[in-house]
Amino acid sequence: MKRIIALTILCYVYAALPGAAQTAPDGMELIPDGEFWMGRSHTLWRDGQDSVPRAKMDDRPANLVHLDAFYMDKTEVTNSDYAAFLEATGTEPPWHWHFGEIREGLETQAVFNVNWYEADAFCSAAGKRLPTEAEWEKAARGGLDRQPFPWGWKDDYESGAFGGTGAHAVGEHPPNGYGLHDMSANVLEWTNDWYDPTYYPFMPKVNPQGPEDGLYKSTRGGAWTVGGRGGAGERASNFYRNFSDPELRGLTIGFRCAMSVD
Amino acid sequence: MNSKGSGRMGRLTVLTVFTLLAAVAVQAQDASEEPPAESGPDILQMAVEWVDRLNDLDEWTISLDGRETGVEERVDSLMELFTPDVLAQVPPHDEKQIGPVLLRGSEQLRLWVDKVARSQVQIDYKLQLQTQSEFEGEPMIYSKQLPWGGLGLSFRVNANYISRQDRTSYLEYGAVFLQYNEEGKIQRLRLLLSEKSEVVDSAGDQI
Repeated sequence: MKRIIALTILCYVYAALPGAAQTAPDGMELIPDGEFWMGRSHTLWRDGQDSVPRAKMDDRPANLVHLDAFYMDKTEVTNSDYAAFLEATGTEPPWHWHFGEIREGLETQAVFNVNWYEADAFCSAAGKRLPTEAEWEKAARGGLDRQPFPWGWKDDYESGAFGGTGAHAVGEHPPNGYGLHDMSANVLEWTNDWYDPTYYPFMPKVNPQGPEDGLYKSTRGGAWTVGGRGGAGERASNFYRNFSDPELRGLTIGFRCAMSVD
Repeated sequence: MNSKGSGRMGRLTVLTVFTLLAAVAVQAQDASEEPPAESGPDILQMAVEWVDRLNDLDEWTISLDGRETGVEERVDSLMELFTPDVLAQVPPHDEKQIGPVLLRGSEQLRLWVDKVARSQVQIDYKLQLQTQSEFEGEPMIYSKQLPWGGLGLSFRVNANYISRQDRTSYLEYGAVFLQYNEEGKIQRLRLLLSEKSEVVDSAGDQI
């Protein structure tokens, strides 16, 4: 009897430990609940230049945002992941696939030329969803506080999958602090939120879901196009906000999925 | 000198005096006919009006049944100064924000003004004065006619207020930049304030 009681107590203790009951599904990582600074918290040289379109102050002010825990895919969705979805649903393949097939050797390349609706359908079919913009940014930061890149302060060309002539295989570069790859590189990623440059000044501070409607969906992260000899710059940063017509399929836009923790 | 010569001299003197008087009179008439110099806008008054309406944001009351009464009127009063497409840069308006806040349009600016009205009391922005030689405190208002029409104004302010939530007194130094259009409405506002710091007395106690 004593053993049973001890075992029961142990079970309770184990269940109470952070993360103990939150084993991430395959291919995903747990992003813990808590606050983080969302948006740009430091100054860029262009802030002093009125010649730069002011709309790009869309990443300010930074807000201290609380998110519940969630899971995030470790990598962007690959061609082979997407092919399995196409087979199961009969959805049209990306137009650049040769006769609807993945070219040999490109199975692990991040999928692109997928519009927002298709990305959303893929995640739903997998029992997941697209991340909110806030979830995406918290995941990208990898637990680092107010630093511009997933790997820290340095605009390090080698740390990201920048440059080249197209999307790379996923997971080729070191993961960030949460174990996620290519958050700042390879392809831009669709998020669930509508894009609104005026959202940050009065955004909700707890689990923000983005504006109720809009014309464009927010996309996040750098892409292979943003690399340069001097580094990837702010367009590959954790805070940089991009956007695209949800109907648009682009060479630089892919996605990954998230999932709520029940 | 005979009397004839003396009379001629007298006439000449009278004529000279008359001519001089006439010239002075004509000149005076010319001067009075000049159009009055065009007076520019009263830039001190414009700056004071902006500051006063901002300071008035806390001039509302709480009714016996607990309702906040008069906030909307105070907010309206300040918002009247702006155009619908105003672009404003203001400091963060809560503890959970870092960096400048860019507000686009009067609808968004109104949210900020409303937040100030409801979260700060004893709002006391003052034009900073400069003392030099015999001058004992001149408000320094800088202005410029804008090439696209309208007027730009800037001035330094001391911003003092008390947080309604925790009753802490804060003081910030800064500057205000206003751009008025030709109709006299503000199209651009930049309120730059230094880091917020708590006001304490010389012993370090909270005021």
